[in-house]
Parts: sequence; C-alpha cells; structure tokens
Amino acid sequence: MMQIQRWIGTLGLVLLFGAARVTAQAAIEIAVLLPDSATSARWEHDDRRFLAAAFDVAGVRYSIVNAEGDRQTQIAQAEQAITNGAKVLLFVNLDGGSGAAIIAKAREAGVRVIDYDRLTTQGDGSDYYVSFDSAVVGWLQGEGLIRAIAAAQADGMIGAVPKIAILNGSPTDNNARLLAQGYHAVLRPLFESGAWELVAEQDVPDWDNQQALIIFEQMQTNNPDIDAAIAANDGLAQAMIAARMNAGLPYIPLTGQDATIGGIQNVLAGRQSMTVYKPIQAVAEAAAALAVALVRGTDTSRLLNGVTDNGTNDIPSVLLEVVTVTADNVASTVIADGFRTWAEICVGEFAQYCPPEAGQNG
Amino acid sequence: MADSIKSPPGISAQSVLSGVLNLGRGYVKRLSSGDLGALPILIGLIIMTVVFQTQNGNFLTPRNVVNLILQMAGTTMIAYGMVFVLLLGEIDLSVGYVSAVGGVTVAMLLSDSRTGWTWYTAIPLALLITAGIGLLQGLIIALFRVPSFIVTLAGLLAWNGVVLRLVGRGGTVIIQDPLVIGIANSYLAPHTGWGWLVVGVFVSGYAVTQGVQYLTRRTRNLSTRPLPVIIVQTLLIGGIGVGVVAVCNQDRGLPMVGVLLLVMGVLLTLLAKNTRFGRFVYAVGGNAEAARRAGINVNRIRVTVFVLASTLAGLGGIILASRLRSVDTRAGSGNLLLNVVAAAVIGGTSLFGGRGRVTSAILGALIISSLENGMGLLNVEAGDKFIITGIVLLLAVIIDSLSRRRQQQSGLA
Repeated sequence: MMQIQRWIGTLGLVLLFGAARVTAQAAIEIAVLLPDSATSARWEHDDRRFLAAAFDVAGVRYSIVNAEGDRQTQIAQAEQAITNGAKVLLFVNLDGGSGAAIIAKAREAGVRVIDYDRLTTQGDGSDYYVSFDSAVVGWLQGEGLIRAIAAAQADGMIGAVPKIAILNGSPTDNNARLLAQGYHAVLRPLFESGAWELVAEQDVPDWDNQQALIIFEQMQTNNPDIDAAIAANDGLAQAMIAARMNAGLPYIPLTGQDATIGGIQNVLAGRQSMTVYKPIQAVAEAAAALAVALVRGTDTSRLLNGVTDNGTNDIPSVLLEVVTVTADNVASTVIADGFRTWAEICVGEFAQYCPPEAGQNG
Repeated sequence: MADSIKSPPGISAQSVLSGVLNLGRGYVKRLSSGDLGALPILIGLIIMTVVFQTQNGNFLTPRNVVNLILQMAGTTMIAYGMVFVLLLGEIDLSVGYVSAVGGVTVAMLLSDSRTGWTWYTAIPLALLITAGIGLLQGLIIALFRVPSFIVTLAGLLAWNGVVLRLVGRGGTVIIQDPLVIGIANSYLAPHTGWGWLVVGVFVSGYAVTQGVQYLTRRTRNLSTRPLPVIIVQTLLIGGIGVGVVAVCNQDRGLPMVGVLLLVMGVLLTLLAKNTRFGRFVYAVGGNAEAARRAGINVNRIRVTVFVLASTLAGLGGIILASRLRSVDTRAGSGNLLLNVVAAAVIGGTSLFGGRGRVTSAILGALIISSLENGMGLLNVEAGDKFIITGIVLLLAVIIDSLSRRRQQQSGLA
C-alpha cells in the first residue's frame, strides 16, 4: 500500500514537472497574471476571454495565468513569464507588497508592467495603469441617489431632510475605499449643510450579503424611518431590499453598482434606483491595445488619457468610462453591449417590467 | 449523594427545603467537578443582554427579538449537524459551502418558472444533493482513512467552486417563489393563537417526557434527579417558551422558522439520546477503538453522521437564501462556517468528541447571533466586531478545555 502511494506520488511529480517544462518552451511576448477566481467571477469569465480575443486578433504570443489568490504563486508566475521572454506584464496585484515585488523584478529585467484594474500603491508603481475609475463609480452612485431622492421628494414620498444609511464594501478591499471616497465626495456637502442626515454607516466584511442583511436589519431597528440608502454593490443592495421586504416596508431610493443580473432586475422592478455598469470588454481591449503597442514599440500616447498618483509617482493611465444604468437605459447599455441578455433578466415576475421587444430578442 | 438523589418526593415544607438544599449541594458538586452544563451560556446571555439593553434600548424590543430568531435560524440549523460531527470527534469544514449548494440549487431551479420546477420538487432535490455530498465525503473519510479535516477542507474549496460555477457571471439570483421566501418570512399570526399552541405542546411534551422518565427510573430503582429539580427546570423552560411567544406576539408573531428549529431540535435530541444510533455516536466519539471492539460498525456511524450534517447544512442554506431572497457568488462564505463551529462549541459541545448536546447548537447560536445583533445596534466597527467575537470564542474554548480537565480529575470523563 505504502509503495503504491509513493509510486503514485513520484509519477505525479514527474507529470507536474514535465508539464511545466512543456509550457516553459513556448516563448511569449505578453504575460497576463490574473488574481483569483473566488472573489469575483469576472476574471475567469470575462477578462480572460476578452484579453485572449484581442491578443489573437493582434497576432501576438501570450499567456494568461491565474494565481488563485496566492501572492507567492503570482510572484513565481511573474518570474516564469520573464524567463519565458515576456516583454510586457499585464497584471492584477493581490496586494501592494507582492505587486511592488513583481514590478521590481520586471524592471530589473527590462520588462514593462501594466497595472490592470488595480493600482499598485506601494513602491515606485508600474509603468502604466488601465482601469475603471472606482472613485467615479462611487461618484455616479452619489449622483444617482441625489436624483432618486429628488424624484421621491417631488412625489411626496420622502420628507425634507432625508435620512440616509450606507453599507460600504469590505474594509480590506481598496476598491471599496475608493467607492466610498467617490460617494462621500458627492454627499458630504449635503450631510454637512444638514440638507440630508447620515443616520448609519457600516463596512460589510468580505462583501458578505448575509452579514449585510443583519447589519441593515439592525440599522432599521435603530432608525425605523430610513429614507434612502447607498449599497457599495448590487449584492449589498439586494440584502437591503430583502431586509425592507422581510419587514414589510416599502422600497426606498437605493443605489448599487456592478450591473449583476439581480441588480438589473431590481432596477427594472423599481426596487433599486440605479446600478453602475463597468464594460469589462472595453477595459480588456484597452489594456490589450496598450500591451500590443508596447511589444511592437509603436506610439502609446494616443491610447493614454490621464495619470494616476500611486503615492510615489504619477502613472500614465488609461481610465475607462463607467455607465449609469437606470430602468430607462438597460436596453441601450448592458443589453446592447451583449453584457447581459433579456432572456436571463426577464424571468418570472420580472418579465412584466421588460420592454415588449425583450420577448422576441429572448 | 446517592441517598439524597433517591429520596422520594415529599410534600411537607421540610422535605421540599431539604430537596432544594440537596439540589443546591448536588449542583455545586457537579459544577466543581467540571460539568458546567448551560451555566456559562446563561451567564453570558445575561451579561450581553444587560450590556446591550443599557447601551441601546432597542435590544429587547419585540421587533428585535423576532429579528434575532430569524438571524440565528440558518446558523442554528447548520450547527445542529455540526454537533453530531463534533460528537464523533471529527470536523466538517465544508458545511458553509454545502449549505450554499443547497440554497443555490433551489434558487436556480426556481429562477425561471418555464422550467416546470416547483418548491416541492426543488427543495427535496437540493436536500438530496447535499445529502449526496455528505455521503461522498463520509465515504472518503471512512474508507480511505483520510482525516475529516483534510477531506472537508478539500470540500470547502470544491463546493465553493461549484457555487461560483452555478451562479456564474450573473452575480445574483433573486428568488421569486412565495413558499421558499415564506420559509424565513412567515409567522404564526398573534391573533390565531397558534404560537400558544406550539409552546403548549412543546412544554407539556417536555413535562410528560420528564415525568415518564422519572417514574420508570424510580420503579426500576435507578438513580433519578430529584423531583423539585425536574419541576423547577420544566417551569423554567415553560416560562421561557411563554415569554418568547408573548414577546413575539407583540410584533409579527412567532416565526415559522423558529418552529422549524424547535421541531428539528426535538427530533434530533430524540435521535441523539433515545436511539441506538445516537448512543453509538457518543460511543464512537468517546473511544472509537473501544466502540469498534464492542461490535459497533464505526464506519457506518461516521458516514451517516456526515450525511446528516450535510443535509442539515443544505436545509440551513435554504433558510439563509430565503431570508436574503436571493443567492449570490458569496453564498456560504464570510464567517458562516466559523459561526457554526463557534455556536456548537460555545453551546458546550466538545471539540474532542463524545461530549455535547443538540441543544448546544441553539444556545451557542443564540450567543453568537445576540452578539452580532447587539453590536449591530451599537454600530460597532467591523474590526472591533471581529476582535470581540474572537475573544468570546476563545473564552468558550478555554471553559470547555478547563471543564474537561476538571472532569478528568474527578474521574467523570
């Protein structure tokens, strides 16, 4: 029994190293290092295929690997990519420290580094940064809430001084911090002038919707007359909607972001005021175009549209526009881009909120 | 000690007094020998209630009490299964994501009415799937002798992956089926009196069981607990039951999911205490080798317990999904697993196997949920919440460890 186990173990190791050897032989020009597949479905579902398609069209040799949340794995993947001859690293860091380590290694080897969707805030920073502006996402959420509250006040649904509750994202996520900066920048003047009242604000660890549900239920117990709310994403918004429905309370002006299927359904049904759509295809294509230009040595200036301060240096950046999605423009945004289909949104009771053409396009 | 326990119940004031004194002496003796029972939990609950109520007057309002029952429901149901696993001296780290598989299965099957699935086909299928997961993990643990820690750790990863694949890039699946939503959102309306019926049946059932047990043991000349103890205990449980229903009736009424917890708690307690299977679970957890030599099919017990735990996790996941009226890619993540293990352990189920009760799940979940509920009312920061919860968990495990040592010293374990 022991011998068989040892034998299987040896065989496994041989196969493992054999496989590594085979991949090591293929020289590459661009290496993409994705962070994980657990915290968001987008990396494996969307980014990988959009990047691969763009590289295929450009005809460059590339590799796309995923570190599955492990910093050491990602550093090893970066080293391997550099060994394999990559000229450009397109990567999503797992934290500031490991990101800075990867950038330092690349710079030593003369490899260009692009921060993809997550800025490395430690060290000198990367050569380029391609992303949506998370602060703009939060800013749109704040603007969306102002419009929704104005509409509700016009209908007499909300009093003169609306009481606001906020559920922030995970306290460990830099994007959650940027989102919060965005909506607070818009709302702070309203709170400070006394036009609105901030009655409760909490972080939701790990963006866990079950915890969000409890946190918001407790906010409601303390403040039964919450008039409007901001949720840092559509999942947290759904938790707030569930808490309202479970307590038999009416829907309130509520803004989220991510354009999940549930989020769009809630927007169409009038349970959520708006969501924010981040066209992943656009950010992937912009990053791919920049990487290809760097490989070929062509001019990158027409691709760049700004700079971002990483704390030490100003990083030349491509900052992609994000889109507010309300019940009125679902068709012209997420549906038109093929990001969502009517068939997955218009199910069950939500079919009644869908436009007539949804049925045929189904 | 033995004499006092067997002394017949008296009616005179003197005998009642001596009974109470004996009870007091016996209790102190039990405590000092390390069998703390529910005492640490009661003390903990009282401290928490006083702290939260003085800091925020909303803690004891009927609305918050009803909310508390709803908030603890999912965790409690999953912790019921965890108690059996811990009794064996094993651990199941996969229950968080197994519960998510249950919830996601129901939500996905019912998301589109055109598929023809209904709650009465979707819920049984989800429970069958989660039972199958338990069977698979249990068989691997029993047949390949791989530690349950490793097998269920692999399960934790794999079932998380399954949840991600099922929910996929949609992000959130909203549940529309009224019955599934109703699981965590229906109440025994105060005016119907159903809540009183439930508590009446439960308390009288408890009283009758205790009485019958007392009489049978006495007629067989076995040691019994003194009658005053049984009466006081029954009155106490009755009082708590009546109190809970009275408070709930000032709000939406007793939640159906609370009744479900009660029924499952009674059934599982009977399973643990009054069946051969239950005794075998304690025997295997106490000493697996001795149990095997005594002719118990240890592997079958192990596999059955893991099936039970996964199925209960599936049911818990459906309750959680019903409350959130949706499932998402994060279902089963966060602090769910930690809360479940903490509930069982805080409730007094030992991590070392062989010691614990089904009711410890409900008591522990009550502590954990009250803590979360109260800190939510006080607007405690996320970081401070983690620190406080960590300290409470640590205290519970220290108490468990100390009481185990005392019991060993006094020859009880």
